[in-house]
Amino acid sequence: MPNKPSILMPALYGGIIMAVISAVPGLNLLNCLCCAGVMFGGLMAVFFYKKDLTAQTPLESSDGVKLGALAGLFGAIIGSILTAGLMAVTGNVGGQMVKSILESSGALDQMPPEAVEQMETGLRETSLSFFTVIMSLIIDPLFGLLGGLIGYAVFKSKPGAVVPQPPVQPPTQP
Amino acid sequence: MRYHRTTYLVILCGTIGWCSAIVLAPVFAAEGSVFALPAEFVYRMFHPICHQLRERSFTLLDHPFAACVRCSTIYFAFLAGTLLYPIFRKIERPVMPSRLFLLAALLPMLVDAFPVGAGLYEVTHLTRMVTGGIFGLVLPFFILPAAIEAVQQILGTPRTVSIHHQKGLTDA
Repeated sequence: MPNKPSILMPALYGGIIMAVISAVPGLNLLNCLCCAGVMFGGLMAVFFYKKDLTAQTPLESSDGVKLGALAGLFGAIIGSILTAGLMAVTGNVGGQMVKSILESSGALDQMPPEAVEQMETGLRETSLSFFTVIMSLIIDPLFGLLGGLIGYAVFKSKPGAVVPQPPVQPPTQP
Repeated sequence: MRYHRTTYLVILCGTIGWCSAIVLAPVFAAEGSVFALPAEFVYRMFHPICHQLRERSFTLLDHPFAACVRCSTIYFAFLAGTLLYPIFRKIERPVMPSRLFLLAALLPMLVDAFPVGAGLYEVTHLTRMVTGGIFGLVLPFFILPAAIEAVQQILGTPRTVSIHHQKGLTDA
């Protein structure tokens, strides 16, 4: 069985995608849809890995699991660093953005006072809490793994599909 | 063969635990006193993965669920799909439906979740539940066979079965 390519770089690319989605204000709202951004990173890790594969090394479901989980780990670490950096420089821009959306849609007026107070407390947070980082280190690999499995389901070769073979060199005469 | 049922049961138990946490958060919050801390823990655990807006969440005992209507429905539909999986599929024979099912299940939710939905029709709890429910229900039919086969591969047992895509949702 020929050696498979390393999963490290595709997982890192997937992790970077996850981190950017999680850290950029506005874009991080995507994660409000059941961690869609994190799952997308896991899926993309499988996509990048698939490009390195040959006919002799087909994509396996265990690859999806490993790629997704590793991408999630990278995503959590890079995302936490990016978020902390962005919050230190710009403050809680994402929270302000959500508040302004709610204000403009009139939803803020309908919210109960305790919910508004909870939101205001969240807006005053200008740094990442230890709890958030720990939770990212658990949640991101978990949802990244799910993304990796979905990626496997999406990018797996169809049975009987013709995979291009490398050209065969004719035997040379001694 | 050894790990098929174990993998399925682990995923089922994990999903039950996850869904229970969503419902237990408002119960703990309503109880207060010693339960206040676990309630806060669960709400904060779900905070990075859900907006938790009160007006977009189911409420129980005057406290919102730990996740919004759409997310809760996806998780509960995923649980329902996981419970239904052995009826439509043999756990020992992981077979994946055509990936078109995944796309068909995802599209309505994407339309409903993103601003496109707001322009086409009124996005309500019902549309969030229907579109999220369809996606959540279909997802285990892709996740479970892939996970079952992955565990088999990772734990080193010889691979006897490989996943194939098929046209329909059932084995028949």
